[in-house]
Amino acid sequence: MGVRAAAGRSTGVGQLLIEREWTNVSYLSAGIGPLGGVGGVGGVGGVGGVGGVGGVGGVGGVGGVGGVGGVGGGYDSPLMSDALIRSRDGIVGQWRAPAAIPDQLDLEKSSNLDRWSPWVRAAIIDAEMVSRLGFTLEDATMNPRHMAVWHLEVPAPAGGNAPQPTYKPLILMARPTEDIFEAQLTLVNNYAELRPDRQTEILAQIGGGMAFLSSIAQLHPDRTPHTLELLAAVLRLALFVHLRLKQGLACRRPVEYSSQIQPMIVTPAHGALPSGHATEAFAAALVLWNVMRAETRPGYDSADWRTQLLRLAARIAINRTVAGVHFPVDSAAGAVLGLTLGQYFVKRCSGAAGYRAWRFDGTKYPEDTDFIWHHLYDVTTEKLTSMSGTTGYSSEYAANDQVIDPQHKSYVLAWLWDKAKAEWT
Amino acid sequence: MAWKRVQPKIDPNSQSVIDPYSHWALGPGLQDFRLPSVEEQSVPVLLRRKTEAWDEKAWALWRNAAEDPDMPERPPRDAEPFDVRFLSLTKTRRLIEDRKFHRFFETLERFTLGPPLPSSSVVPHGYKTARPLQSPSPGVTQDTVIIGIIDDGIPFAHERFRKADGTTRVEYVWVQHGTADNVPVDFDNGFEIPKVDIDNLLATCRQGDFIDEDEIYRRAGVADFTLDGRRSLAWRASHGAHVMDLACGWDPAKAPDWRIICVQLPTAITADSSGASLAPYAVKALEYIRDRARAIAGPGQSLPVVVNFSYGLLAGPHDGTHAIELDFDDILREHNAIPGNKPMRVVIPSGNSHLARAHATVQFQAAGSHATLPLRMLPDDLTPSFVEIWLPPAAVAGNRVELTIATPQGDVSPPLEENDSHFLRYEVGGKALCEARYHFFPAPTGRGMFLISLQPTMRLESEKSPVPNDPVAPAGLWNLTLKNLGLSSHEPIEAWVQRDDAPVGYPRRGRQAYFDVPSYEVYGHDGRPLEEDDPGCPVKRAGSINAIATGRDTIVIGGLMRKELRPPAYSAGGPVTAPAGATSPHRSGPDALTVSDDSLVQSGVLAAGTRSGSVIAMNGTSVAAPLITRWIARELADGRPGNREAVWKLAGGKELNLPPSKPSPERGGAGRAPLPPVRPGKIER
Repeated sequence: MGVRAAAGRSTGVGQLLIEREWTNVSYLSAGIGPLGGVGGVGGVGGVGGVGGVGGVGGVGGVGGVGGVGGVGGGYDSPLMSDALIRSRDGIVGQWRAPAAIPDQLDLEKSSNLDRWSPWVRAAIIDAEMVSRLGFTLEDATMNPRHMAVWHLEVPAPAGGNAPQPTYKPLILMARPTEDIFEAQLTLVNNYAELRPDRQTEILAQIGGGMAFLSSIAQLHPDRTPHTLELLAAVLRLALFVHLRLKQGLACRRPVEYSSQIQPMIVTPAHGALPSGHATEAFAAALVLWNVMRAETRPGYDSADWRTQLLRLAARIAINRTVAGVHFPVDSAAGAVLGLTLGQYFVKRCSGAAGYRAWRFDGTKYPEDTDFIWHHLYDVTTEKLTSMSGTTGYSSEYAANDQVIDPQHKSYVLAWLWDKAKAEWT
Repeated sequence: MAWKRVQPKIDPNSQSVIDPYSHWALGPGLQDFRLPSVEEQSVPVLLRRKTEAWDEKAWALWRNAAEDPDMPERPPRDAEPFDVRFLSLTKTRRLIEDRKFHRFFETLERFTLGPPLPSSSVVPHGYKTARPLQSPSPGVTQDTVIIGIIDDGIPFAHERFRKADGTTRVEYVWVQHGTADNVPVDFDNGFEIPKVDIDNLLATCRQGDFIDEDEIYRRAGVADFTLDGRRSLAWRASHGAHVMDLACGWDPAKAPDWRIICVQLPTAITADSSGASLAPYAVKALEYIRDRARAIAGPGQSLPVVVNFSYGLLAGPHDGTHAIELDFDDILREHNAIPGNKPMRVVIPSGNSHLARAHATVQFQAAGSHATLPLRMLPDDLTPSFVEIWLPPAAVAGNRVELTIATPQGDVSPPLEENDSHFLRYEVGGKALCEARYHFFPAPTGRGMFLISLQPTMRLESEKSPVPNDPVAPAGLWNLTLKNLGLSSHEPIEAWVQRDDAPVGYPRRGRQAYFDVPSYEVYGHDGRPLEEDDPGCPVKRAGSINAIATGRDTIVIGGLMRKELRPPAYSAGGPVTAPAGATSPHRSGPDALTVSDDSLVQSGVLAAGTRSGSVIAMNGTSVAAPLITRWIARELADGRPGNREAVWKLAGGKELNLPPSKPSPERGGAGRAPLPPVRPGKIER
């Protein structure tokens, strides 16, 4: 498709389409998560393909990528390859050995990352993140049984021996009881009142809320390609984790409890808790304000930026309840998960000494409680609020941070973080 | 399947003061009158006495009916001849049906029921605490003006109603529904949010420096999704937000000392189109604003007050004697007559039903002639429908006209006569689908009316049954035929279909029935809706004015397109019916027109959404009225009267510099008054 477009019309259009095909096809699940379309691969097409689709206006972004894509894209055109064959035949001449060859590249070197396509880096980054995660379900001696997400530290092996990883807690999550979901159903029904008011937002956010994040921070594929790559990375991290937790916790959607919820969009074919939209929106919000202020430009460190980003994340989460596909408790779980993962991601990227592990115990969620984001997170101290007592459903796993051994810092993540933060001067 | 003539059980004298809608509401329409799935319900009853002082025996019976031990034995001395009290459904019925109360009804002029509230929203009987009012409010000066807003979705935390120091200009909010845990002193239902609470919410509901309005309204109990009921303030836009910004919104840095008292009408009432009257709630709302304004002024002091009430009805006497009109006029006259009191004004929109085809006039040329009004009942109407057919005053009681009704299937009723003591009922399977009754309204109305009540044309379910088992009226043409027995050609009959439409933002339940006569031309040759009447057609655009906007002292405002300088097609007007005994009406229509739309294409005007910083466009005479409210507030602040005459002068003065054509007095009153926009656009829309 890209080829025909490239040949028939302006190159820009064809290139963009090819880029989007990559986004959709060539890489695993990137791009299919709720917020994911976004950056899908590589951040290049970035941001929901801002200009994307029609390519019509081109939205600046296209051009830059285009150069590259254009060349690459040209090769799979029969016209172009035939021309290249003929062209070579015409000028190739007699075969000779090269006069000089370059040195080999260094092994496992961060600067090599500059050489690869963004979608290639995305796979590398994902391998870096996911290979350091473990998922388990607590055994039947525990009540409730939490799904646990672990951070793995994998030391460099000596000789030819297999490495011995260390497991450290990241987040534990238990699902609410049936009674809690039943009580929450009333809230879902009450929120249905707002469907006509929120319709456009809900539809625009089905595939994710990146356009909404970029209405607060200036995200653009030309100006902030690496920030988009960074956000795409945390969104995929969030996607892997929340989908794995949804599989483990196996919570039914509102539509399965009542014939009268009648959601205004199709109910996704995965579990209810934790809410993927909440997880991704809160994780992306937290990473965004952290990277924005990392270069210490005045202003970005004020609570105003993070407050607005958190309000937006909460609105995206609540819109899913309005639509009828999530309980408020799903959003609470997703917000806690997203903020925990976002923080973990920032700490790992920025080479921090540790991260805070968390626990969400859905069985303690008060039945008729709505999702109120600022009950979960303090925007001033930038910490999740640790609750206690019989209704303390969101609490710290331990009073101290989990230590990240400095020798296990990820040069891949550090590379991406440094590139991204340089965009916020 | 048959029409029947039925003898009412109620004492005929009592019957004449009971709002005729009550018979339907407590009878065949009970399932639509009741709140669904609420066990305990309380009905507000608005009494209007013939005399200002209570008759002692009537008071004793009233105490007996209310079964309230806390009501004093001696009747209280009220300033006005009316009173509102909540009764259970059972007590309300007993009061109406038990003949022992006839002595009580004899002392009344009107007895009107409002739609019920859950009993949890109403104080248990006799609740009158002596909580001190925060009075007088600090800092009241000569320049202080009180603006009252009676509406739905009132954003009391909005920045447009704050002062430069960040505190609110809203002195009190009365939410008429919701849990009765902070009921305003001297009132019986809902809860009150005083300024001190709003200021506290503004100070505490914050993240960083940002005020969290979602959180304020959630904590205040008006947008909490764990509670039942509609949450107008959770929406992007609300009627009340838009109206209130136009009436009294300011940039905080520029705000004059305009203090605000708001009443949130029960959301169920706003949504209601069951024919029950909003009168009890509206009358108490105005009393509340008056009382709190007096408290703010302090003892021996007075502040000027202007109240905006952007609500409307279609059917009514249209001569200034609707229960709301009588009571509003009484409240205004009583207040304004007290020496030393600063003026109190009320502004009401003229209505949006100019093209609703909900008004017809029948003038008979000869005795024995017939006129048929075909009533188009629409399918999928989930609420009852009503038609009021008003007869001219009679010198002596007689039978000058009779009504027969033909159902869409052609079942023709026996005649219902003027002064008929029986009523008509159309029954299918033992259930009433339609009733028609003659009702004579005693003075000051002094005229009779046929009221036709029809069941919804569609039901989804019934209380405690997923399958509807309540009666449904057939959709289609119901022919209402009037036969002249003694009316002259100078004695017109006026008919109105009652309002049956959803307000802004509410889900549609009712569908507006209308008079569907073939001679009514909807469009002109240019393809645009016709705004002028054909004298030969009984269905009239003229006279579609809001049925609570024909009072004597209220200020009534129609719409205007700023660019075209003519009223928008929907803006309703007079003529208004002359009250019985008067030779001419006390008003011809609205007092003036002001801007409701920027232009024909750019409909609506800009004003606040529910959240600070948001702006939306909304149209209707509802948004014209508050522009005049705002103008009056300025007049009052400057010590000028700001009354009807002042509005006439304003419009008259503006007209001198406007191009033609000045609208007719019926449509446009004293003329067009294009006041400046409250939210001037930096660039033209």
